[in-house]
Amino acid sequence: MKSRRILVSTLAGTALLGLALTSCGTASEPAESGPVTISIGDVPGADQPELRALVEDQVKAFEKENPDITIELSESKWDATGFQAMVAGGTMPTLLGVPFTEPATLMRNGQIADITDALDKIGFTETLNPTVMQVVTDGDDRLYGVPLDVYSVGLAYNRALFEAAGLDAEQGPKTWDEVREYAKKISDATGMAGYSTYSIEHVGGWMTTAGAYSFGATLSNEEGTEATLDEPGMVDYLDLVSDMRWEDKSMGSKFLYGFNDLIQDFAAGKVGMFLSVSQHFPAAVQQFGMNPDDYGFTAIPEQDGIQRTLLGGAVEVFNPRATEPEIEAGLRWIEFNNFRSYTDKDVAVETVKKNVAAGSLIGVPGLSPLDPAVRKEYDSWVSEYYNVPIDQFSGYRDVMDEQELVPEPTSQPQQVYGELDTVLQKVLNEPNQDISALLTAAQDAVNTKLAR
Amino acid sequence: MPPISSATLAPDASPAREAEAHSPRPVPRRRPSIVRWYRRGGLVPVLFAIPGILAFTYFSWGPIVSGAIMGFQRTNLIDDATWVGLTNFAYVLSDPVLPQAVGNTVYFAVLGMLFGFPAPLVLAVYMAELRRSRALFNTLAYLPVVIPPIVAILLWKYFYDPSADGLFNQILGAVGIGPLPWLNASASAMPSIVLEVIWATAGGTAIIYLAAITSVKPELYEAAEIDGSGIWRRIWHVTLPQLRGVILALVLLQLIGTLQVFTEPYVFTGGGPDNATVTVLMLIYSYAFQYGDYGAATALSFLLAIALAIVSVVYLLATRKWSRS
Repeated sequence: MKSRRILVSTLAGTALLGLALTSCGTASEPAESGPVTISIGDVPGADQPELRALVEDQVKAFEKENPDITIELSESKWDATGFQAMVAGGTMPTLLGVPFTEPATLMRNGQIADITDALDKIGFTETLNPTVMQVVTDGDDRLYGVPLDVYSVGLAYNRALFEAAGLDAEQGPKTWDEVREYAKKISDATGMAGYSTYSIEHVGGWMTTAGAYSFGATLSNEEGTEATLDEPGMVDYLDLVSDMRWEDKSMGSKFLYGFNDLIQDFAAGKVGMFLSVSQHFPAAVQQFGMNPDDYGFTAIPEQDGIQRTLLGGAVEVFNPRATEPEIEAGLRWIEFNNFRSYTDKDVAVETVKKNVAAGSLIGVPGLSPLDPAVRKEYDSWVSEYYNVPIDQFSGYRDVMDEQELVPEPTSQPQQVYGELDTVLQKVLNEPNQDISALLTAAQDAVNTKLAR
Repeated sequence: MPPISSATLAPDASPAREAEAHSPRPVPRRRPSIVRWYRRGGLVPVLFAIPGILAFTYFSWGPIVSGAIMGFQRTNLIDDATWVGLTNFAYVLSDPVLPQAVGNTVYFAVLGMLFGFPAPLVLAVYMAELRRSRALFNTLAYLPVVIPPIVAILLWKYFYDPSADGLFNQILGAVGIGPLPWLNASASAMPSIVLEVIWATAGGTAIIYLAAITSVKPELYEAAEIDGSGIWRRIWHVTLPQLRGVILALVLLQLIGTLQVFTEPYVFTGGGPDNATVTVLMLIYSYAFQYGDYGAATALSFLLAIALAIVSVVYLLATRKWSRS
């Protein structure tokens, strides 16, 4: 009797132990051939029902065309902390969009899938723009993703502030000397910051890189294994920023701008000009309430006739545990959902109309991951349906296809951006800095990390 | 086996038995037995404790141990980890930002203790003196604690706008003090953050001190009053010594907490300007989530944990003679 009671309670305890220790679940084994199931990320949630309905319709149409592929929808998005957890927990969707600044780190860490073979098999590799593909190519020429949205860094300016300062709102500044002049005029006439810049969260480093590129800097050796930050182009850009800050005093009083803070102040009319990407237009207008008439966007200013800028955008990457059939299925989805619009006029018109009806801002000028000529043709088909005032982007559109597009510096751009954040903050924080010495120190710090 | 009853012990003439009859009989000692323990219901508390222990093991001790192990490995969370010995530790200790991060963290802790310790105490003393409106002031003092930290920080970020239109600058401008840069200058960034932290946490600590103060025997206060001491002398000579235990415990907890500060500098300034507000925990965060370098992140966490353990031991040894045992 007693021994049975001991046995029963021991079993109860063991059962509790067992329940608590059940494993999180292993990745399911996918079928090797035949029907394939993949999941796509970045699907709009229930709070955006029209946009979600659009995606669901697309998925249905795709599944009809490809009966052996099933697509599951996932609302997972990329974000710095969540992504690492997704990878570790195995819950990353098969396809996920990440910003241009991320694939280098992810490739190095082996956290995204090598899709070179699948790309070759489907036949994409030749049609994709080789400059843009650099962002997803590693040192051994293997490819790790498909760029979808592509844009280059330009200069956003507030047309209302330009008018208040007596400047021509249709024409943004063309050269950096003009930027300096305009900034002084705006801050004298309105008391607002004439020119401003991001400076934290690595976004400062990102935009400083773009500024340095426009001055002709390369910031990296050819293989991407070493940073060369102490270059004349970088020094000249930082000298200009320092002069605007300390001599002209045309940069206002806030110098700790993170990603959303600067767009917010810009939308509120407190900033005249800042280096930015055209994709910020929806955020400024829809999220921060800017009057669309006040938004102007022009190409990155020139220096000595050089028109050179940094590429940005979004890349679709694949779960590192995905199998070849799953990767191929994903590529077919990308072709259907994203690239067919560029090559089929009816699909293009219908997609744009549906997106505008669902409330998106469509028409923000950007580049295409395919040939630039393809994008021009696409624009000619659909520009009448755009709900974005693209004439206010004319300074950018005129130049965007002829600019020299430079990919990110070194194989670990985040390390460069982190160090440049600090250099930029030093320049903005104290006058008379020895910029060359700061850059050399930053360069050494980055190279130590690259060597790890 | 039937228990031995005194009836079977027949009185006898032997000296041993006589000795036994006169001296108190010792309680029969039985050897401890699992069966007996179980019969007395000893299994029930264990069963109640098992879920809690398992949860704690899985969610607290498991990650701590696996984190410590990860400090000696290089991993991308997908493939098997490779052992790299002490490389992560060497890398982390040679980071040029580490000395500044440690300095900033200690600076934050010092400022936090210097101003954050007297503030709730003073608040509690004043509240203890109130008769009628104590409940109202209790509530008002505790309100900042109730506001979620991120909301409070974003609110203060708005207050700290460095232009002349910023809220605090407008208030200061009314009394003639020029617009201050607050978070935008390296010298004033950390003190600005400490100010917000004190505002957010003083209320909670004040309530604890208030409870302790009101538990002090009023005769001690009356005795001090008779001897002619004013309120602050009474606090110094009566209240503080009586609150010794509470103060020592709260100070240790506050110290360990402030040395791990992350949210405030991260949301306020992201570590700027010019690394003036980078803390050790922010370095750990950037290793893990900006560079995907888990080996370095866990190595630094491990070192931080050891440092905090040393600080706690030193603190407890130093204050041993002051604390009530």
